[in-house]
Order: sequence, then C-alpha cells, then structure tokens
Amino acid sequence: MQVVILERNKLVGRKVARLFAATGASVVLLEDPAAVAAALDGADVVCADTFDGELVAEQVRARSGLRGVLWTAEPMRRSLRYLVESAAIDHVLGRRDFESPPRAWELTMLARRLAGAPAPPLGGYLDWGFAAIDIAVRATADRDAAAARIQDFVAALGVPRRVAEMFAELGHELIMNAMYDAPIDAFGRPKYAADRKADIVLADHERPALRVATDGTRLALQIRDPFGRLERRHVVDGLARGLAGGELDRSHGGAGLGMLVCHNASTALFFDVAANRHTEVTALFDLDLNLRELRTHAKSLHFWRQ
Amino acid sequence: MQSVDRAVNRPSRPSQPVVPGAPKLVVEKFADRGVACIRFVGTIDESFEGKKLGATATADTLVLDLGGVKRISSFGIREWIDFVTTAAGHARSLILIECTPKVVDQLNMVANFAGGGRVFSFYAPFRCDYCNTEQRVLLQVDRDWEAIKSTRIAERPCLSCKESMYFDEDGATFFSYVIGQDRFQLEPEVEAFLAAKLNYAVSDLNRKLRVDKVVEDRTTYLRLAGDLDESFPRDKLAEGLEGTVILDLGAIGKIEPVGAVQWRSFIAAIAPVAERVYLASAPPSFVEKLCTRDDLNPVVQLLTVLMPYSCASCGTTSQHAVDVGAHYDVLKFATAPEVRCPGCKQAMQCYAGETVMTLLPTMPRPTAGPELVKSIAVLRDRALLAAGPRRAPKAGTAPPVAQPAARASVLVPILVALLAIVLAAGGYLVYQRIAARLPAGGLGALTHRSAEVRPAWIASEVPAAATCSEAGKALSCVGVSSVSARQDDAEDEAADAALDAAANALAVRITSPKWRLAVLPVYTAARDAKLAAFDRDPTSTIARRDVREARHAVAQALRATSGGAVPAAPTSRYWEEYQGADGRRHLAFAQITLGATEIAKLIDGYAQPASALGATVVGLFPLIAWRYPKIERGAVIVGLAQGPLQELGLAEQYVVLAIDGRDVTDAASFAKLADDEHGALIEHGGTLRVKVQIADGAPREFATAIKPPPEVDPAGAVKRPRTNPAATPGASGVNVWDKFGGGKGSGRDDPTQ
Repeated sequence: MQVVILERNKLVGRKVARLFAATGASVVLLEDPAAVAAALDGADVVCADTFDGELVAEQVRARSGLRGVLWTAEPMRRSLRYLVESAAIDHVLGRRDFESPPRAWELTMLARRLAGAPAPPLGGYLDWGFAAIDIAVRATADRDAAAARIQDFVAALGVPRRVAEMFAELGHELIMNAMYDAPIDAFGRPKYAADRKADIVLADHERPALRVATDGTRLALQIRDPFGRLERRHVVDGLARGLAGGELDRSHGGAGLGMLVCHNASTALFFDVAANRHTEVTALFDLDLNLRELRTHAKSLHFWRQ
Repeated sequence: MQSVDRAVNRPSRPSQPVVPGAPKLVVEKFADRGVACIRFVGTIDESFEGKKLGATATADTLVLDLGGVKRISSFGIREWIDFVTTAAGHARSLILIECTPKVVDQLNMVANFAGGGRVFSFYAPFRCDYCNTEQRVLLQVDRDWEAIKSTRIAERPCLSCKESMYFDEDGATFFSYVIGQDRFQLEPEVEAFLAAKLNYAVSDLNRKLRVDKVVEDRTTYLRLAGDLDESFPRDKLAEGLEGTVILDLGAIGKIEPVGAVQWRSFIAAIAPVAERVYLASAPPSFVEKLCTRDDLNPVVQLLTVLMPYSCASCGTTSQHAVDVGAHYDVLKFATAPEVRCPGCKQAMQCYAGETVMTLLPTMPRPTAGPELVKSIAVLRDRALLAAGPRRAPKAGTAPPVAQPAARASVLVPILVALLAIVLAAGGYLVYQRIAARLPAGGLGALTHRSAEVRPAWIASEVPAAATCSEAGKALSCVGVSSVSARQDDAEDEAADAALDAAANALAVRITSPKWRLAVLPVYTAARDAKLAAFDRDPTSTIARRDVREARHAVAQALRATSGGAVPAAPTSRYWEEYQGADGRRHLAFAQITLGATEIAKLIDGYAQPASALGATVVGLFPLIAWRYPKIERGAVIVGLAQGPLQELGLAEQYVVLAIDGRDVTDAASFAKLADDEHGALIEHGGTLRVKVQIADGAPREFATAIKPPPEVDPAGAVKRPRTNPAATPGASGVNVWDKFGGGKGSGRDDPTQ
C-alpha cells in the first residue's frame, strides 16, 4: 500500500509516516501541498489535516481508487463536509492539537485495515488486560436494564457521574437503533421502525450483541446487529444535519438525532458494515478527558463497508 | 450565582435499579390564575406523550421547570418538540427554568427545543477534582448575564472541601443557546408565583413590591405583588386609607423578617382609621408569619386563604382561595374544605402545612358577607387592567369588557354563577382528615374511656393532629394520638404531639429576625415534608412513624432545653377505647398548658443570643429535632463575623454540638467553651476542634491548628514556634497533591493531568 502524507508540521509528519511504515506501507511524506498531485501516481491513500481537506477531496475525486484520510484538531463539522462531498473519504482522526499526531493505535489500526485486514475484535480498541461484559437485549423491557447496567459498569470505575450517565445514554441510543431500526422482515421491510413506542420481543436471529469494556484508560461500547443495513449516508448525513443545527428528521420513525447523541458522547466512532450480514458500531471514550475537554477535543469517525 | 444542594454527587454511584412499572418521568402541574408550571422529573424518552400533555398546558404564562430532567433520549427529543410546540400554542409566553446541563445540551443541539420559549435559569456543572464531587450552580439570565455572555465562569470554592472547583463544560458551547436569546426579566406575577409556590429565588430587583389600587365608593382595594422586605412603602401605602380596605395578598412572594415588621407597622397605622381591613388571598406563608392571633382583631380580618391542593387523579396542583367565613366550621377542626379539580373534576387533597392548619382554627370568624368576597375578583381584574396591557388578564380567561364601568355589571352575574358552583360543591364538604386518618369502617364502638365525658379542652378528634389555642395569655396545646392498639402508647404519642405543637407555637412567637432567618430554615422543610407525607397518606406506616418519631424527639429536646418551664407530664390526659373489626383500639388526648411567665421564659431562652469568636448563636430549638432527631442540645449559629470560627469553615445554620470534646448545651455554654478553649490554645498552641451538625448524616468535626506566640529568648531573638506536626493543615489529607511536591502546575494540581 502506498500512502502520501501531507503534513506541514515536520515532527507530526515523521511520526505519522513511521506509524504507516510500521504496518508495511510505503510512505511519501510531503510538507508542500503543491507537491501532492505529483506524488499521487500509484498511491492508494492520501492523508492530510482537514485544513488541506479541499486538496484531498479534489485529488480523490480526480483519481478513482484513491482514498482519503483526514486528521483534525477541530470540530467534526469542518471535516464532515468533505465526507459528505466525497464518498472516498471515510475516515477522520481526531488529535489533541496541531502539534500532536493522531492516536498511534488508531492510526496503525486504520493503516492495517486500509491494507485489507479484517475488523478487529473489541480487544483491538483497548489495551491488554481489559475487562468486558456482554449484555443480552431481547425485548423492549431489556433496554432500560441494559442502559442501567452500562451505567453501573462505568460508575464502578469511579469516574464522574455525568460520564457514566452519558455512556448509558449512548448505550440506549445504540440499542434503540439495533432493536427498532435494523430488523427487517422477509420482504426487506423494516419491522419495528414505524413505532418506537411499541413493546417488542426480538426473535433469536434478530437480537443484537451488546458489549461494554474498559482497560481503565478507554471505555468501549460495541453493538452488533445481524442485518447490515446501515448506510454511509445514514451516518454522514445524520451527523451533518445534527451538527448543522439539530433539525429533526422524522422520516424513519425516530428523531434523526441519534448520530448526534453518539458523536457527543464519544471520542471516536467506528462503523463496520457487512452488507446484509451485520452492522457493528463501536464507540470509544477517553477516560482521561473531563467533560469540558471532551467538548473541545477533536473526535474521530471511521466508516467501513464490506 | 447561587449554589444549589440538590445535585451534590460523589463519584458516580450505581444507577437506580430498574423497577418494572415505575414511571420514568413524573410530571407535576401547578397553576395559579394565569401562571402555570409543569415540572418534569426523570427521563424523557419515547414513553413521554408530548402532544397529549402539551394540549393540557393552558396558561397565560407557562413555566417549564426542568430541574429534575435526568436524561432525554433522541426519540424523547421528538416527543418533547411535539409537547413544546403544542404548549406554546396555548400560552402567551413560555419560560424554561432550572434547565439541567442535559437540557442545556439539547437546547444547544436541537433546533426549536425551547419551542419559542425563553430560558430564564439553568444549571452550570462544576467539578472538584480534589474531593471528586460534582455540583451545580444556578445561573439566571437577569442576574448572571455578564458572566454568561463572557462564556467564562470563574472557579469557586468547593462546598465539600473548600478547594477550587471548575466549570466542567466548554463555555462557548454550553452558553451558545442562551447567549443567542435576549436578557430578560420575569413579570411580577411570574416572580411571585415562582417565589411563593416553588420557593424559587429570583433576583431582588425582580421581586420589588408593586401595588395596584382601585377605589370604589368607600372601599379601597390594594393588590400587592412582590416580596415583603425593607422596601415595603409603609407610610406611602397607609396614607389616606379609610373606610373598607381590602388587601389582596395573592401575589406576595417572600416575606423577609424586616418586611414583616414593616407590615405590622402598616397594619397598626391603618387599623385605627379604617372601618375594616380585609386580608384576601393570603398565601400560606403569609398566614404563618403574619396572621397570628395578635395580628388579627375585629378590624383586621382574614377573608380568604390560598390553599394548595393536589389532584391524585391527574396530578394537577393548584391554589384555591378558601373563604374563611364560609368554611369556618370546617377550618376550625384544622381541616380543609373539599375542592374539585378544575381539570378532571375529581376531589383534590389539600396539602397545606400543619402550621397553617393549626393557625386557621384560631382566627376570628370574618364578618364580611359573600358579596364582598365576590367583589374581590372584580376589583382584581380592574386593577390588572388599570396596570396596563402587560399585566392584564389574558383574553379568554376573563370576560372582555370595553370599559371598566361596564365591566362590573357584566362580570358580577358570571362570578355569582361561578360562586354558586363553588358553594354547591361546598355542600359536599367532608372532614377529609378525620376520615382519612381513621381505620376503614371507623373506630368501632366506644367501650371505655378515662372520664365520663370528653373534656372541654378537646376541640378536635383528628387522629395524630395537634393544635394550640390561647386562653388569655396562656397557651393550651392539645395533641391527639393516632389510633393505637395500646393505651399507654397512645397516651405517649398524644403527649408528644402536644409538646410539638407547643414548640411550634413558641416558634411563631419568636420575632427576632436573626433567629427566624437562621433557625427556621434548619427544620421547616423537614417538618413540612414529613407532615405532608403523612397528610397525603395517613395509612402509610413509614409516614406515621416519621411523624411520631420526630414529635418524640421534639418532646425530648423541649424537656431537655426548657429549664423546667415545660411540665414533665401533660397537664391533662384523656383516652377512649373502641372495639372494632380490628380489635381493641385507643385514641388518646393530652393537653399541655403554658402560662404567660413560662412562655416568656421559653422564648427568651431560645432566642437569647450569645457570641464568641465571631459567631453569634442561640440555643438549640426543639423543632430542629424534626431534622436532627438525635440532637437534644446544642447551639445554632445565627450570625458569623470575621473570626476563628469563620476561618474554620463554619457557617450560619450549623448546629454546634461540642468544642474540643466538651458538649455545648446552650448558647451561653457555647460562648464560654469557645472563649476558654480558644484562649488556652492561643497561649499554648494546639488544635481547635468544633463538632457540628451540618446536614443530614453524622456530625462533622472542623479542626484547625492554632500556633502559640513565638518564644523570645533572652537575647530578644524570636524562636520558631513548636508545632505539632499532626496538627498542621497539610496533615489533614485534603491537598495530597501539594504534599507530594505538587503545586507547581496550574489549574487543578492533579499530577495525572
């Protein structure tokens, strides 16, 4: 895999190049945007800060097969416009500031997957020695209990109450989506999306798998439904609409603000969709951040589709 | 900024267990004339039926109290938007108060979340990393606008550990919605509603008293809206008043002690020149503070009282003006007349506090006829119209009229019809409290009693009630037991109830502003809550036990602190035995009488302050046992000036229990112990330890090291003072980061940050 990196900060650029190189990629590191176009022949991936997002978007539009990766220290809204405009940009990596590279583990995971590696297990998002629990969600009645269980799990870490509540809310949102939005009948029609107030009991083959885990530094919440119906536009447009002003979208039975809730409650969101097989959503929260820092810290978004 | 203690949290606690069937969202409705409030407590999610609730939210001004909103799911947002949009269509204005950070998040994120309403107040989250606590600080757009606009909220001392706590949000994000709306102030009616009904503090500027006046023939109607405080225009108001004076008090907010003094002075000035002074729509707080027997007389009469009622069927809570004259025979038994819910027509339950209910029977029966009572509504409308369009009643809520002169003729028949309905409903009057507190099927047959005839001093047989009445300058307090299986048990309970009523009567008579400001808040909420819980469900074992145990604790504290002024045993006793379906049951009565000398001695004893080390204290008042049942003696801080105790971190309303291990029994012993101990420490050095009761829970000890004066050697050089390492502030364990060489970094001093 050949990667072209445009990074104006030398130190950051070297670190990013090293991380890509560690996964076996061949790397071209550039500081001058004017040199990018010439370096892209034969390249698979072009990476840059969102500041140079226009250039990246222009290049991926011009070259079929070239994929774009952005990193940013700014709010997601600024990067999102490039994801909306270009289907070849599926990844935004948040970083602390312009002097810092993106998280090393996240970058190497991205590099591996761009090179063809499969989705990592939950442990891939966490350090060795993490703890996890599986929570069964079979019916509407299980939903609130599951959210409470998530809250208890997080609370047991001694973190601020608001963090535990926030993660429980995130869990509630993801469960709602997996239970009500994802299931379809034999004709491909949504089974439960029309009435979110209905008490439902999912059949065995419809049940989502919910896991919450932590290594003490990060929290991970992962839900996987067996339908694989989530589309890129659901994520990108939903997020764009939410971040642009929070207009409701009632067309799918809900409020259309679930993505915004997920974004606000996490530091990184990973969407893995195997069409018609499964949708896996993993939300991460960095426990070393307080809520004030969470609001201002740039966030990551990754969308993978098989 | 105002700290609010409702949200002080330790590191995250386990979530509440999910109780099947338990409501996730509790919605309470309050209404008073044109102002209505809907309070939300819990989670707003898909189960919230927004449109349905919004359709019922009819009011001139609708206040949404969001201080209890814990969570809003994304589907809940959809329902909320439906609610707020529908509600906005039914109200002239929509005001959001006490928005939790969760609600503020939604306001910032979701378009039209406020439905065109305006946010008046909201909580800003603060966090202390030292003691790992979170606190919320209430911000108001009128009072804190500059801070909000700057998006920077200064760090402030943590209420728990006194270290610095920081605003735990990004200001630019958190305040973005509120900054986008204009700064505004509440209308006087809304301020009064919030202050009186929700005990919600709005800024002093907003609560300034307004007076609307209407004169008709020899009747002068004055409508007072706002707080009674030092700004009360006593002389200006009294000037020229004569004939019949009607004082409409329905929009009175808070009553400051100094305002109460001004009020009494105002009444004293107009009583000699007016034929009659009628107090109308007096809120319970006004009755408690300014309608004692001394305040009323043949000239000054209480005409109507605003009583709080709650509907168990639809959850609506509203105030109803109760005509004291029309319902005198009911009120004299400390019971409230039955009222039907304006929304669902079901019978409502009155939840007025015990203090008001025990005061009402002592009121003289007003001499005014029903015509006068009817005319108040007409005069009020006229006063509001004269005050201008902003304060006029909303079209549709009152019959429209072209001219004030014609208004009365149109309104009177309608009001007469309305009154007829109310009076017809009054035909169903039942003594709810008696019925509610008796076992189903009644007590059964009377089989024994301690005397041939029930004594004359028993005026009420409401189980578990207690009342006081004046007999000349003496006080007679009668307590009634609840229905009990044992006679001795019932007699003890009745005696405790009588002593509790006596203590309450003493509290009413203590007029010291400092005392009232510092002591009443310590126990009033706890007492009212327990009595209200018992009132709501007299069959609840827990509620009954709470009241009984509190009264017992009060009785013990009263006996312990009265210096013998309170008799050890009741003055009179009486009991009755019944045989019913549940077996043998007993109802006991006890009377405590206090002479004028004892009353004066007790009031003087409890209100007499003593001072030491900058603190002014009074002796522990027995009713404090409603909140702190284990405390019998101590001293309550009513004033705190610069001095060692202030530096130690003590505050007003703290109850001092001991100083350096020696018990504080009253105000004088506090002053002596504090002075002695501090004097000795100044001389020899050591640690000043003060044990206090601050909030519910175990008493807390405050300690500080006091260094002796430096020794001077014969050559005149100052030697380093000898200090006890264990007594240094650093050894308190509070600031552990600094101890390990921290303090170099800025901000929170946490080495992990």
